[in-house]
Amino acid sequence: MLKYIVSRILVMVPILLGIVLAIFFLLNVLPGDPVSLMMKDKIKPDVIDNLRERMRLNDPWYVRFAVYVANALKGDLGYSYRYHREVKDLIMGAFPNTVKLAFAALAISWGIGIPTGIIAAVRKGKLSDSVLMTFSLAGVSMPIFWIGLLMQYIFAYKLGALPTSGFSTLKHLILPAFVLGWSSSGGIARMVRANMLEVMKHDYIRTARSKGLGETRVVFGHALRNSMLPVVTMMASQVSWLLSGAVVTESIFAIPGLGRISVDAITNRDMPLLQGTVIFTTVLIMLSNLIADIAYGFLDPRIRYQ
Amino acid sequence: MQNQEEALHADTALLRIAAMLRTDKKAAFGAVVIAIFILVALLANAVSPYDPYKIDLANRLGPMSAKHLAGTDSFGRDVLSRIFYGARISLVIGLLPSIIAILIGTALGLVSGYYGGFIDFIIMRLADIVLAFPSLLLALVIMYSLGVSLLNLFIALAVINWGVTARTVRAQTLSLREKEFVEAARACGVSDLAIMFRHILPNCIPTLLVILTLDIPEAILSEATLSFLGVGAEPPTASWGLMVSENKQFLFSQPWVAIAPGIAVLLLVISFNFLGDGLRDALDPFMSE
Repeated sequence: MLKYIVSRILVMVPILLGIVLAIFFLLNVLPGDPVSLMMKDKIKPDVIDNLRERMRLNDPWYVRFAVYVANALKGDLGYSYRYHREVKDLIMGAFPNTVKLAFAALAISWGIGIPTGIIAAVRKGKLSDSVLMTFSLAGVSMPIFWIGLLMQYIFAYKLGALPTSGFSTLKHLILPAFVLGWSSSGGIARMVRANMLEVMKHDYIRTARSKGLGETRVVFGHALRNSMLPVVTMMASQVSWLLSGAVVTESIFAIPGLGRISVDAITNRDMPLLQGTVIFTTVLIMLSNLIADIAYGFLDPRIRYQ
Repeated sequence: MQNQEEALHADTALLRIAAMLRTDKKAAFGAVVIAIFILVALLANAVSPYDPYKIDLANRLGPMSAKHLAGTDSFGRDVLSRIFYGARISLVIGLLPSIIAILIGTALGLVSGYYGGFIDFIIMRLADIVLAFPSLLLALVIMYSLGVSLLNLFIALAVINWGVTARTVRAQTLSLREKEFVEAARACGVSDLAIMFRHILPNCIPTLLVILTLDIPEAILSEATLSFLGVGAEPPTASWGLMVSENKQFLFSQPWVAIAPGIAVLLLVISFNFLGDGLRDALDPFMSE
């Protein structure tokens, strides 16, 4: 098992380095010199030279990349152009809000997705299966920003039951979490249904039925347990989905989280902040992939020996 | 002989798709709706009741009426005409970058699977990197780097989405290159390039078709989302995502104007998903053959 975990981590390191290099290249090398972009020709050349020296822009890009990675490993992601604060502090301020939103959304998406998938699988081919699956596909097909606005209109404006935006109380969390959770519940439902149907074909299900077990025991005792395995791996891709979805959800509901600051960073041309948040988010996603891989290795011993 | 075998494959694939469209109501619904959207996009200047860019400040945020079937937006522009024109952007952004991404992925996957070794290693690590990146974030970074415009969004989507195709085509190439018909072609002295494109590629086409129908709705949603966030189409372009964003501040007074373009997105995306599901069901047993 230890060997498996170590090998997973070793695979991850070069990919991560490649991602950081890609982001660095796109944000630092491709757009050209940030100082001349910022200053145009309004400033004296010696001031520009001074600034270029301070920002290490006179070094070749690979030196700057090495310095960036070395600093990032020490937790230093640079300074935000806009807020004049450390990027690290801005990220740490926003991160808890995104975590709250993501966990609440995760609970909702599993709460809706898993039962939907089970019911659809058990009633395969019936009308309820078709309706539930259409409902799930609609969840996947709706733009998150659109459901968000629709929910704001219905629950905040028409019914006046919930606040439109902000993030101060638990009540503020309900609408955004539901919007984000619903849109990802469709994927879960489709996955659970497909796995259940796959598992239901196996001999041991027939054996369980022929033993005279009731359908409920067969479904919950035998089929469900075995069909949940691949769903564990789906958790990892869900983290990626939730963090991407959070970008939009946080913008609509004015939640000061990671997604919101990355969109703001683009609007403000705040490169260090954008770079920091994107790298931080990607690391989070890769870590959750790693955890899912390890969990999968624990749950299914066959994986470890491949 | 092998050519005959491949032709047969392509025929059976078409037959299965036709049979699927007759029995699978959802997929048929999807196909019809997509066809309608394509027609509307092609004939947008003929079917639109108004010029989608004509500002009429006297008629701002007008209700649905006989004159303006879907009302007018905050600039007094006709919403229905803008939705019709928006179909152009959504379809072009949905189709073209996805096709380019699939072409890139196919070429890389073929080379990777056929030659193996170092090239394979490099290509697959690149694919790992693209796949590990959440695509929305990568799109944001690319848009920052290249600047906000539809063309750059187009480039971003094409560059992001080749990973899945490359992996799938590589896997199929790995198994196909050991088959007798490939060996026979090689024995006859057919060049590597011809083997890859004439003998291996046709067998991958059903899979590629399924990947394409699943990539298109993703791309449409990405364009809508990025344009909504202000990192895609620029005003006054009639893009569905941008239309929602431009009118969201009037959500509580004139909700329809912000909601309507979203319905168009939902309808088009769910239609592609219905069709994609149907295609997968129809071609899946075929693909494992």
